[in-house]
Amino acid sequence: MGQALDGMTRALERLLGRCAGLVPAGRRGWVEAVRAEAGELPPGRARLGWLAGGLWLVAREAGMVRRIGYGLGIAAVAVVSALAVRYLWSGAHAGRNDGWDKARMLLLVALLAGLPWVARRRGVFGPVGLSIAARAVRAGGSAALVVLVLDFARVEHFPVPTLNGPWNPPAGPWNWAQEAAALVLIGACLAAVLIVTARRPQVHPALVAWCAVAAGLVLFFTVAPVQVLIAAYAAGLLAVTSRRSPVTPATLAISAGIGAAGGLLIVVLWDLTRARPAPGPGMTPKTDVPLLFVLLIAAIAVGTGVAALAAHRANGTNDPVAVRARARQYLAAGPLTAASAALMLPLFRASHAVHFAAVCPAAQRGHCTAAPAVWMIFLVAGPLIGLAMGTFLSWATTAQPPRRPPPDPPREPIEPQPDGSRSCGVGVFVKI
Amino acid sequence: MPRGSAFSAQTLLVLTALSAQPADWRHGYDLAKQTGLKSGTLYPILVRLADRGLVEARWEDGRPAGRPPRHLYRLSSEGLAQAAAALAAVPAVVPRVAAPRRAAPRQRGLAGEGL
Repeated sequence: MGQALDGMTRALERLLGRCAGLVPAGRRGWVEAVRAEAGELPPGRARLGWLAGGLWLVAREAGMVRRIGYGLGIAAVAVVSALAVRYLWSGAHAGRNDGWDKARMLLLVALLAGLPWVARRRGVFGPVGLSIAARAVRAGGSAALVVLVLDFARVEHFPVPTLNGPWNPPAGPWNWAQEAAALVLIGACLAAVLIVTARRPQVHPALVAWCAVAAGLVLFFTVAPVQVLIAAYAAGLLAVTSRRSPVTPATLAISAGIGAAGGLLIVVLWDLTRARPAPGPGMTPKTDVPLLFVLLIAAIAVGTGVAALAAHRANGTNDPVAVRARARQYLAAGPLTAASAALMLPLFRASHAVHFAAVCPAAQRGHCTAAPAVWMIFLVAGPLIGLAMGTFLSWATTAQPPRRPPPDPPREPIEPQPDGSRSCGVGVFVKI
Repeated sequence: MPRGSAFSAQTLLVLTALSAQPADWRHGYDLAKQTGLKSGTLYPILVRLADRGLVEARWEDGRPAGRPPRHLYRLSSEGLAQAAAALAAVPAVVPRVAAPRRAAPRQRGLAGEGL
C-alpha cells in the first residue's frame, strides 16, 4: 500500500511538472510553488492530496475546465450528428416525407453545431452567467436539446401519424429557396426579440415574450415544427442563462429543479399508463393525457410559486425597480419550469416509444405511435401555460400600486410656549 | 458567509492568517496548516489576491540545504487595509483560524470578484 502511494506520488509530481507548461508563463511560478511545498508534507496521502490540488490549480489557470466542457459539447454534437445520419440513412425510415425529414434533420444538426459559437458572441446572447445555477442550467439544457434532436431522429424510423401529418408541409421535391426562406424567418424572429429588448428596455417583458411566442407559433405551424421548436428552446436557454439576463440564479435553480422533478413524475406516470397495449378499465388514452396535463400544470404552478416566493424574500421592497425585477422573475419562472418538465418526456421515453412502436400490433398502430405527438404538445403547450401563469403574476405585481406607509395621525396644533420651547404632544420638548 | 462581504469564507481565512503577522513572509504549507485549506483551494485564492495587488509574492532567497526554495507571501499595504476592513465586518472568522484544521469551511460562498 505504502509503495503504491509512493509510486502514485512520484507519478503525480512528474505529471504536475509536465502540466506546468499548460498554464500561461506568468502563472507557472504558482505551480512550481505547489511542487516546492510538497516536500514539506509527510509522504503518503497528505502529499498526494497536496499534489492533486496542484493539478486542480493547473486545470483552473489553464482554463482546462472550460476547454473540456466545450470539447465535450462539440463531441456530443458530433456524436448526435453521426447517430442522426445513421438513423435516417439506414433504410428503415418509413416516413412519408423522407427527403424532407433527412434535410431538416441535417439543418437542425447544423443549427445545434452553431449554437456554441453563437452563445459565446458578446453581442448576441453574451457569455454564460457567473453563477453555478446559470452554468449548470445552460450545460444541462444544451445536453437535453442535443438528445432531443436524437430522439426525434429515432422516432422518424416509424410512420408517426401526427408528426408526418398536419404539421409537416406537403411532400414534394426538395426546395432550397423555401428552406432558406424558412431559416431566414426563424433567424429574423429571434433577432427581432433581441433588438426590441435591447432598444426598448422600458417595454413590459411579458409583451415581448408573447409577441415572440406568436411569431414562433406562426412559424411552427407553417414552416418547420421541430426546427422552430428546438431553435426557440435553444434561444430561450441561452437568453435566460446569459450574463446579462435579468433572471436570478435562485429563479433558475428553483424553476429548473422543480420542473425536472415534476417532469420525471410525469414520465413515471406516463410509462404506467402507456404500458397497456389497449385501453382498459381505469385510465385510457382519452383520459391519461389530460391527467398528465393536470400534473404538468401543477408542476408549473409549484415551480412558479416557489420561485416567486424566493424572489419576494430576496427583494421584497416596494420601490418600482424592485417590483419590476420581481415581475421579471415571475415571468421567467413559469416557462422555465414548464420547459424543464416537458423535456423529461422525450428524454426518458424515446427508447420506450421506439420499442413500443416496433412491437405494437397493426390494429393499435395509432395508439402506439402517439407518444411523439404528445411530446410535441407538451413541449409547445407547457411553456405557453407557464408563460400565462408568469404573465398573470407579473401583471398582478406591476399593476398593484406600491404600498405606502400609513399616514401619521393628525397632530394637535402646536401652541407657542412662553419659555421658547413647544410641545410635540408626546411629552418630548424641542427647543426652537 | 455574511452578506455584504467582498470575500468568500475561505478567502477571509487566508486574509486572517496573513494579517496575523503582516510583516512576516509566509509559505503555502504554513498557511494551509493554519487555515485548514487544501492546496487546490488555497493557491487559487492566493493567485487571485496577488492579481488584485492584495498579496505580495516572492521566492525565498538563496538555496536552502535539503529542500527547494519556497514561494513566500504577505499582505501588501492595500491588502492589509482591505483585510482589516473585511475582518472587522466578519469577526467570527478569527476563532476558526485559532483552531487550525478543525473548522475547514464547507460553504461555497463566492462573492465579489469570485474570491
